[in-house]
Amino acid sequence: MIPRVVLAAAAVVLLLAPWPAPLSLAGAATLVGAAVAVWAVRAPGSLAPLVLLATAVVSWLSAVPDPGLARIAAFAAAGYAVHSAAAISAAVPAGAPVGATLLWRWVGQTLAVLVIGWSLVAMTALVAGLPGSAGLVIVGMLAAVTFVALPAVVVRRGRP
Amino acid sequence: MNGSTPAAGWSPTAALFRTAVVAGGLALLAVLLRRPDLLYLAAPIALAAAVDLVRPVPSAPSAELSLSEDVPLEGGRLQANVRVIAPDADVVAIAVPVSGWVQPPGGRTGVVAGRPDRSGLVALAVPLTARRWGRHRVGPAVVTVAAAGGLLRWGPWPLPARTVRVLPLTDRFEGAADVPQARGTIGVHRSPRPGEGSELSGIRQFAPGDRLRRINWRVSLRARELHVNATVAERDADVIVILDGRYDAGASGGIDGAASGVDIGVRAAAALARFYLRLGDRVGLITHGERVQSLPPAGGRRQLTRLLDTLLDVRAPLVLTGEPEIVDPVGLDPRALVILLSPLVGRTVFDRAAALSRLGHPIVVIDTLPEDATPPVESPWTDVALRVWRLQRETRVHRLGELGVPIVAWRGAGSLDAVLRDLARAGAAPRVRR
Repeated sequence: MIPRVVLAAAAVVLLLAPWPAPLSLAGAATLVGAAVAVWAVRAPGSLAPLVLLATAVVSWLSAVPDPGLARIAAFAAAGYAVHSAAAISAAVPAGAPVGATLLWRWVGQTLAVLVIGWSLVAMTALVAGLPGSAGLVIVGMLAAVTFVALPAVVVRRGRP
Repeated sequence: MNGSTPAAGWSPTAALFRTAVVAGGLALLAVLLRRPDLLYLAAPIALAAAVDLVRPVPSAPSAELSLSEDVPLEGGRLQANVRVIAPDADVVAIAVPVSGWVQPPGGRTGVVAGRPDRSGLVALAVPLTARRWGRHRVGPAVVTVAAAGGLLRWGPWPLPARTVRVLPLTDRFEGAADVPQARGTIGVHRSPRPGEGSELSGIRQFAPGDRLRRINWRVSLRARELHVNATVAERDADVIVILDGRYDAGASGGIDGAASGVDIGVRAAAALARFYLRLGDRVGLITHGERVQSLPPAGGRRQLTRLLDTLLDVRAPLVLTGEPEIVDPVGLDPRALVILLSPLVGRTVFDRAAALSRLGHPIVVIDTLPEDATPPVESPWTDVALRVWRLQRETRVHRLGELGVPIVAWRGAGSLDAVLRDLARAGAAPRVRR
């Protein structure tokens, strides 16, 4: 039950982080995102969390042209929480009590991943100089190639 | 652990697909739109996936569903235990759905999710209460194992359900009367005839053939003539329990609720069988329900187990037209005590009881119709129809009584004492076949 509660809370933060005007593309995306969030909580193993993240990103891009660091952190943390909570919730039946060991490890892992991930991005930005520089482009391209190839590797490993 | 291992292996989840799409897509968008802020969302997702997928694929999990007790008594408590061994897994979710009459106290499905301990074990214990006699299923338990932070999943796979045999042994019969006609020369019932036994029937003068150890010295000294203790022979008996489960009157509420006609019949049959077998008698059983089951008379603990096992399969059939027959018991010992348990619905049961009585069997009919039984269908004519039916039933009961067949309602302990005493007296008298 707790992972789904976390998923719902994170979805709310994710959708409110852009704080768009109601009558705009971002506002419409937020409304769609709210409906999808319900779907994601009910069926975390479906495509709903992906659609939720996509609508949140659309809303973010159109509503927040120049975000501050705190806002980025809130948005990114909520996005990652949606992703990981959905991954855990998909394996846990609704209403099932979740062991404390699992919860604490999940919380710890989430915090560690956020801190290390953001540190890596920050260091990359520092090394690359200004945002959008050639160095950042290369890092982005490498990351994209890695994560497009990653599922194929995993699927091949998972099969006997 | 002799657990089962599913044939399928680890499979990628929607989370893995999401990881690839979100991380890759955000990285591309960050570059194309010159929005590095998107990388703050992409990076943790990518990093977590990389860390999770670098680890070797976990070994195949195994799981087992077991019960603390396979044969509880009605009202008894047992526990369904699921043990899953899944080393290196992140999440193990176990669900034990239960339905029917073996349920957790709150009636909810037992479910838990947790992380395996160092030995890779996750266990779930679901406390259950057996609320009604019969064969019931617990499970199938469903196990889902997730690894690599939820990116890989094994299952859900079902563990085969377990069958619980709930015994109807709650309503103990504590009768004190003897059976009307004993059968053999061993057993614990008093025979009407004098003979070797431990039950004292009186003191009489010594006669040739009497054993010396039976001489009552105190009386002999006083009377100045040899006297012996007279005893009656002890005999065993055949008891045939016929259970009429062709109609079930009333709704069953389990051990802590209302009892249906079949409930009363099954519990009474179990109590009677237990009582007479404990006395050393031979007990047989014939049940009429969805199918006819017959168990020839025998004694001992094994016979009790067989009897109870047979009773578990008694179920009222769906009767749409006509009245189901009650088969003629074949090879019945003429001296056997026949106990017919029936809600006394329909005509056949009265005819069969009368026929058995005419054949010379000592027979007792136990009425298992619940006092508050009402028809399932309600209409403006229900009350009138019910009153007419009850009158018709009373007439038939009265006619059966005129034939000398006693009919008693099952009231648990001591229900049959008075009836059996009367039958025993009647059995000792010379019989006239009607």
